[in-house]
Order: sequence, then structure tokens, then C-alpha cells
Amino acid sequence: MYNLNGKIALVTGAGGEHGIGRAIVTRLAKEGADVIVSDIVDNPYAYDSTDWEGAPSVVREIEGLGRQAVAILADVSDADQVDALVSEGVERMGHIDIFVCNAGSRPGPDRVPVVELEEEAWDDVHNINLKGTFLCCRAVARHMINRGGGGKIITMSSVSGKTGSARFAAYAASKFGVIGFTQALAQELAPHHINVNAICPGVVDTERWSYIAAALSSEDISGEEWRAGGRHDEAMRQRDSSVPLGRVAVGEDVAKTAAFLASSESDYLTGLAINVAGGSAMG
Amino acid sequence: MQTERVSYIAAALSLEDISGEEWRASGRHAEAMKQRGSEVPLGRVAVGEDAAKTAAFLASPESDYLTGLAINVAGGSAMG
Repeated sequence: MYNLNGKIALVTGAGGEHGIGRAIVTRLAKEGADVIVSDIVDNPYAYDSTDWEGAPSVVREIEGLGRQAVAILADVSDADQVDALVSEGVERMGHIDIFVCNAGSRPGPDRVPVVELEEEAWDDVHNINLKGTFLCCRAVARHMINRGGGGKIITMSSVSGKTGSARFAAYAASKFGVIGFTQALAQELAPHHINVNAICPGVVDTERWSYIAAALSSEDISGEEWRAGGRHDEAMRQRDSSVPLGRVAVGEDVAKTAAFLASSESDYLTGLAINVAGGSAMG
Repeated sequence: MQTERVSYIAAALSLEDISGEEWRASGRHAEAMKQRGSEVPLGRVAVGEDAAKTAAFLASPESDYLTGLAINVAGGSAMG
């Protein structure tokens, strides 16, 4: 559908078996792109499956599609690691045309009322979601400007980046920040023909939602226990009815909009924040 | 957007007593579009094909999970 042959994409937060990152990587590869797969560790949800190895599994999957892929680990909140990720990625793959800034903080102690919110939980969310977006985009933008071939940068905000809700203060503030950052960067990079757009997913059926559901429940239960207890699917199906289009999203829904924004079809779009929410958030 | 409609807009916004048809016939359309293009972050006003690209996306199964959206096709001159 989109010709991404010869394009190189970098996607952070791509090691989860059921995550948005993996879905985006797979879709971009199917469109012809080679991929640099990144996460903070090889397997961010190692407890969840004995067969899934995380980033190495994603690399093998992409190679199975006939595309090239490498895995490079980095903590997106650490400037040195981010700069090393981009320079090593460029060294091993040649250049970067497409960057999907997908890594996000793991929900947990941040999903509490503000009066109970610990400073450390606030900082964790902002270091990964907002500072991480800044550091990654800065490193990739420097590369794209120096290379002079334009590019596509896709940041990951959220429907919580447009509307705040109870117990989502730290997360919403960070995702509002991502949209503001995206708009500023879009203005700065437009003369370089680099498009910068945000995707704002609603509820997506990923590992992350086990952590959110556990944190929001009245029980003293971890995200791992929630998932292991088989309650994830039940919680997702319960959420389905709150979405006008009848179901929560899967990673592939987000990947469809990411593929559009990564392609030349979006050459005249920049500074946008597109909801992928089945009608549960509009505008 | 670089369409016939914009000749009418430009004529109506000008201080002159000139119709859209006269504006276009006098060859001032292209000049006005170029001037406007310099004010757009991505460096040009849109052409119909730019809107068509987003329309094609929204018309395809690729947008099956999208509804109720209002997507700017504005080269960065309108965001969000």
C-alpha cells in the first residue's frame, strides 16, 4: 500500500509481544522498511511468555518478512544512551528516515490521586514519556537535518494528552507535553521537510493495560498478577462497550495510522495529534 | 488550497473592487498563492492532491478504527 522500500525506521519500545511497538515495526517492514528495534531491555515482559524473547524475537520476525532488522537497547531517559542508540543505528543500518518515538513508562504507582502521588512516580513518568521523547527526537532530528533527506517523526501521545482524568495526572501531563513538543518540533523541522506528528491512542489491548487495570482496581495486586490471573481479557472486553466502534484498539490499529504518517501520503501533514480511539475521543 | 475558490477569496479580501473572475483572469492568482506559500511552515499552499491523500486514507480500511476526527491538511499552518 505504501512504498517504504529502502527506508530505515527506528522504533523504540518495540520489545513487547502484544505491544504497539511490535505492531508498528511489523507493519513498516511489510511496507518495505528495514528496522532498528529498540527497548530498554531485550524482553520487557519476560514473565508473560516462555516463547517470546522480546527484541530478538521482533528482529527474527522482521527477517522472516525479508527485511533487515537489528536490536539496540537503550534507556530513552538517558541522553548518552539515546545518542548512542541513534549513532549505532545509523552506523549499522546506514541512516534513519522514519522514527517512531513509542517507548512509554510502565503504569503503576503513578495511577493514584494527586494527593497520594509520590514525587518519584511523577518523575519516572516524565523522564520516560516527555524527557525521553525530547532526547530521542533531538538525536534523530540532528541526524535527519545533517543528512538532508527529510524524514518522518511520529511521537506517541494519548487521548490522555488532550483530556485529563482522575488518577491520570502524571501520565496526562506528560502526554499533553508530548503534543506541545510535537507542535514545536514540527515548526522547527518543516523547512527541512521533516514531518512531525503525534498519535493519540485510546485504550489499546497491550501488556501495559494489565498494569493500568491493576493500579486502578481497589485490590492490592500487581500488573503481573493481574495478567497471570487471566483477568486481562475480561477487563478488555468490559472496556469494549465504552468505545463507540465497539472494541478497544489493538496494536495494528495504531500501526495503520503510523504507516500512513510514515509514508509520502502524509508529506503535507505536520504538527498533528491524531486520535486512534474508535470514536471515544474525537476532534 | 490552490483552487479556483481561492481566487474569489483573494479578490474579496483585497482592497480593490475586483471580482474573483477578474482576479484570476489578470494572472494574479499564482502570485498570491506563492506569497501565501511562504507563510506555510512546509513552504507551499496545498494542492487538491494533498487533501486527496488524507481522503484516500480515510476512505480505506486503514481508517476502520478512526471516527469523529477532524484532520488538518495545512502544512503545519494549523496543528493539533
